[in-house]
Amino acid sequence: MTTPTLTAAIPDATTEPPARKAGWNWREVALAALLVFPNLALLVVFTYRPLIDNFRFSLYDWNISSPSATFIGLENYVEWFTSSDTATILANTVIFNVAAVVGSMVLGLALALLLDQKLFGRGTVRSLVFMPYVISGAAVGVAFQFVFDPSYGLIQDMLDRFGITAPNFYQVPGWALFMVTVTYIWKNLGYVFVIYLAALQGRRKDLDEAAEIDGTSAVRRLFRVTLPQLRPTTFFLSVTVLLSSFQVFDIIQAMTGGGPLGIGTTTMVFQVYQETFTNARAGYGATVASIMFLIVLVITLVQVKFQDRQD
Amino acid sequence: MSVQESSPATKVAGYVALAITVAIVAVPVYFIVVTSLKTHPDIYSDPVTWWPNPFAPENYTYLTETVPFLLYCATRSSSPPS
Repeated sequence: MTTPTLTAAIPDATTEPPARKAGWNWREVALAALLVFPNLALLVVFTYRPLIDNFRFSLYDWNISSPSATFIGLENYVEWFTSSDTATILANTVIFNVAAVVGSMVLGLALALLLDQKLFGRGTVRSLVFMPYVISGAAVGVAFQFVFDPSYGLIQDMLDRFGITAPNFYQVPGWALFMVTVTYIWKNLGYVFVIYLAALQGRRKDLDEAAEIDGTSAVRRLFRVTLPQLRPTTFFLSVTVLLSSFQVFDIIQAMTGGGPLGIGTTTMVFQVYQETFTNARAGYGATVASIMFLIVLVITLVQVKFQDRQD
Repeated sequence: MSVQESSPATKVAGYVALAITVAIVAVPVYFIVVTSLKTHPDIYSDPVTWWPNPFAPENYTYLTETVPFLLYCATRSSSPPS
């Protein structure tokens, strides 16, 4: 009984690949289309269409309250690249993102390494470190004004005890950017921490122990044994943290409103909002958004390429 | 530590780092909560007060009585309170 089906199955298996090459299996294609369609439809309607619309708007001079727009070609782009504000805004964006990504990743890893040790009360501290991440950015922004306030703030109060005058975080652009960056790192630390902690707990501890028996120093063990095992996590975090820090708006809006001196803490995403809704120049806002999209796209492609080479 | 018990010095350093972490994360959160219970002049006092004086829970009653906060929580922000 079983032998005929077995022998019948063997020629079938060998003849199947050419049969597949000859034509499409329409049942499978239909099934695949059916499964992909709902998600693809949502993506097209809510992601790709707005993306293309955004590029289209960037070619228009459009006051957001006006029903009509004038086509002006690439004039918006020319304006952005020749504007005197652009250098400052780009510098703000780069400083904020680099500091936010490096700062939250280094501190998050350090905290994860610390709370991976057997310490009393580490469970409570773990929850505590994650807590800021779930507080809304607007609330964090408002609350940290009480921390950084130059006359009534916590930092001012602390420094005063040591006889140091606190810098005016609200009026000096560099310090304002510092304030916003620190606040964002404080809020985002919990995310990096949790992901790194999970990776640390999933790592091979026997390698670490073997290295310890061999007499490898703790620092060397960290850089040669632990960190290489965390490389996929580091890559994942560098992409996700960069993408989210590029989009920080709530903290800046709540703390400085893009100032001081007009654009002291304005990053590109804040400029998009500023131009579109405050200055009502929706076309120019769309231009900045398009340029930002291209920058983020290039950075992400480079990161993925870099990761592929590492593997 | 299965291979080697960590030395007391590392233990102490670990707890010091733990305490610093708690301070950096918890103090701003504590300050948010305490400020919510302060009166307006108390918020802008110099030096900073670490405990509300006078204790002012009326900020919370303001939130529920003057502003339709509970309605906002239902995320129906577009419909006016009736």
